[in-house]
Amino acid sequence: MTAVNDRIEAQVDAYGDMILRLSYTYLNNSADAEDAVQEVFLKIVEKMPVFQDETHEKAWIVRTTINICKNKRKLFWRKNVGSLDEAPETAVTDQYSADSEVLQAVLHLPEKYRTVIYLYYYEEYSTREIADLTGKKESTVRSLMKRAREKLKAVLKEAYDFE
Amino acid sequence: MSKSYKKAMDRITMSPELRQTVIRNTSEAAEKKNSPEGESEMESAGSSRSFPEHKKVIRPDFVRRTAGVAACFMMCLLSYQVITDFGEPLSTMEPVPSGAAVSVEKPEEDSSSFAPSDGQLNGTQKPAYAAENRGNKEQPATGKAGEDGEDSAAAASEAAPQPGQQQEPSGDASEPLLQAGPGSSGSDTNPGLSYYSETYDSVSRLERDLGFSIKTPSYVPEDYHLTSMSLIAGTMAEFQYESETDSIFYRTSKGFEDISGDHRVWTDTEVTRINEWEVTFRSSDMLCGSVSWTDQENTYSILSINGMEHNEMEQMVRGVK
Repeated sequence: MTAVNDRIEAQVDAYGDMILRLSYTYLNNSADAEDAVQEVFLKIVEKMPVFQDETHEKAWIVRTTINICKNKRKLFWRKNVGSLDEAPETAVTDQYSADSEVLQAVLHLPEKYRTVIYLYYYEEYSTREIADLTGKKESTVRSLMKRAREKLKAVLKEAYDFE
Repeated sequence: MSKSYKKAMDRITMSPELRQTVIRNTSEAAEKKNSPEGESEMESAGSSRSFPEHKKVIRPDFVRRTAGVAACFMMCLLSYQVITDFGEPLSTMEPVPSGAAVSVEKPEEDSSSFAPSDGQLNGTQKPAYAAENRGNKEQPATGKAGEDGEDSAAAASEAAPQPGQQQEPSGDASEPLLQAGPGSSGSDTNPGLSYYSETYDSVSRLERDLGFSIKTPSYVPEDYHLTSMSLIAGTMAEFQYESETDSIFYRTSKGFEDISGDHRVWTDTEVTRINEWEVTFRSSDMLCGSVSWTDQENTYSILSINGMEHNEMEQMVRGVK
């Protein structure tokens, strides 16, 4: 089992942070994001996928992370449906986003903008690759990027540095 | 590229505790999966963690919708059944004549081989008779002569063209006349006589079935020839003569009622004494459409579809012997 454990450790080290960031971006909640990290790795063990290369492996993990986050979000809405009056006015500010105005601005965006912003600006995927990963049209991804930039520009003003 | 965004995201890393927890849980899951009975447990554990099963709840609106659809289906089914049940007898209904039923024997010989031998149909015509099936022979003739015969003739004559005031001018005179004659048959829209008529190829057989001897016209205008002899409703004999442009129907029956079946409107009605009979001539525009008379026992009539000369009609009446 040592070989297996070594491989698991290697995968956690290689993709753990990325999964956490993507989950956090998607779910906007550090606790849920950490749960999602655990579920992604359990999914890897369950499926034991064979990857062609690192790019394929990373893409598979990104796709799986997005799906798990989507499912967690559905579960969250099923369990926590309440009136709008009870809903918080702003996104939760926790340990990950407390210090960064830019990150908070991104996390205030709707989910569909947050994910493409993360994949484009942090993971440096092209719009074509983002379209494949998210199951959207490339034109839709471009449109989402454009609107997200406009929204961020309106919020960040001088602090805006998305290019 | 946003440097500040990248910088902020770089700070999001797994804590050592989280890393250890993930590695431990994942390793345990891998061990379970590698054990013989662990694979199914792993799958169920993974699935229950990701997608916990929810109890199936039958929602009330779904039940209501399903019940509505089922009710509609049942209504359609019942409606179809009701329509089918009521429609069947209507579609198979046939006109049933009133009066007492009288059976009529069918001709025993082949009607197509008819050649008049009684000498009563000579006149001026050549009896190039080719018997026609003028009605439904399976239908037994019924009713009395005075009732059904008249009703049937009336029904038949209603469809006849009116040579008098009400008649519409027609381009081809012969075509509609044969269809609408008082003894015409085979028309679905006029079920009168056609259902109750039998064609005969011999006057003697017709007399035998009719029950009394028949006086027949010894004179028929030129160009007319006998086309059929019929027993109508078992009580009335009808002889049909046709030319290229006209049809004549001679009828006789027991009783004293008018059996001509002529319900057309005529401008002139004249009664003339011929052969000791009081003969009623009905005519318009110098054309006689029909005559009728009676003797001590029987009633007679002659009807021309398009009308004929008065003297020819009179001569035809005189020739009835």
